[in-house]
Amino acid sequence: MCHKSVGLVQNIVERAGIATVALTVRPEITWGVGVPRAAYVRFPTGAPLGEPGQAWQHRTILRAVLSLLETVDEPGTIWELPFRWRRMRPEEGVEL
Amino acid sequence: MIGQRLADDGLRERWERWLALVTEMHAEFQVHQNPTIHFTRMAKPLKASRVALLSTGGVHRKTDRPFDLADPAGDPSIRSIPVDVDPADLTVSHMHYDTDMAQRDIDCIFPLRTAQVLHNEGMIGELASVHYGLMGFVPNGQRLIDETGPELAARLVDDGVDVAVLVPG
Repeated sequence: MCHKSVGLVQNIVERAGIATVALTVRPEITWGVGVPRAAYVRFPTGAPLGEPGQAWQHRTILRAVLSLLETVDEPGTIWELPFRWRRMRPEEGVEL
Repeated sequence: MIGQRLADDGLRERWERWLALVTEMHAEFQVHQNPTIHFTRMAKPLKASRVALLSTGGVHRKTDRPFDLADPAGDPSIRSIPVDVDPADLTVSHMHYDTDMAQRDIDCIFPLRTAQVLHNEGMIGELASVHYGLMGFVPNGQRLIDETGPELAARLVDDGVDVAVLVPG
């Protein structure tokens, strides 16, 4: 339900001339409601930025989400970010 | 470009399954799909933009009135969160997802500290003076469309916000 609420509010904010991007962990709901731009992560509900206490992970996700604002030029698209829950560790990749 | 475009395969079927489930579970539920998807291009680069966060994960200051979790129609009201809030003064009121991780680290659903780091690094131009918490369990979204959304949009415009990042619970 949170995803539906995000989608309805996001589209109204976008209409007001503000560029928006949403995180989603339930892409079918984001797709069904229809939003300007969204970033999908295969993370559990309740932690779309990543695990508690993993500040570098939160930074990596937020940087990737924000980058969509400058690259996506087609409305209504969902972009899957290349991160995996609990396999995402600093030693396994360069922080974005 | 980080990531790849998600194919539509299977999304419609999963959406329809979700609709059937929530329609059965919540008498107040109404289907809402945006009839037009709006699109605003960035007027300036992110490093020169003013950014606001909005979470539907039920985040609010501990001193604020909690969201009404008992109303079967949900609570579409808005909680303001000043940019200089101490994260220890934030909490989460929401019954429809496991809030354990968010209670342990609010940045899991409301990445204000994270955004401050990106601002300090220069990726984000500036942060809005106020950010927003909603409680996303609103089975009938009409009040979000008619009241909450326009109110939030007006407040963001008044604050000179260029970019909003929305995070679900």
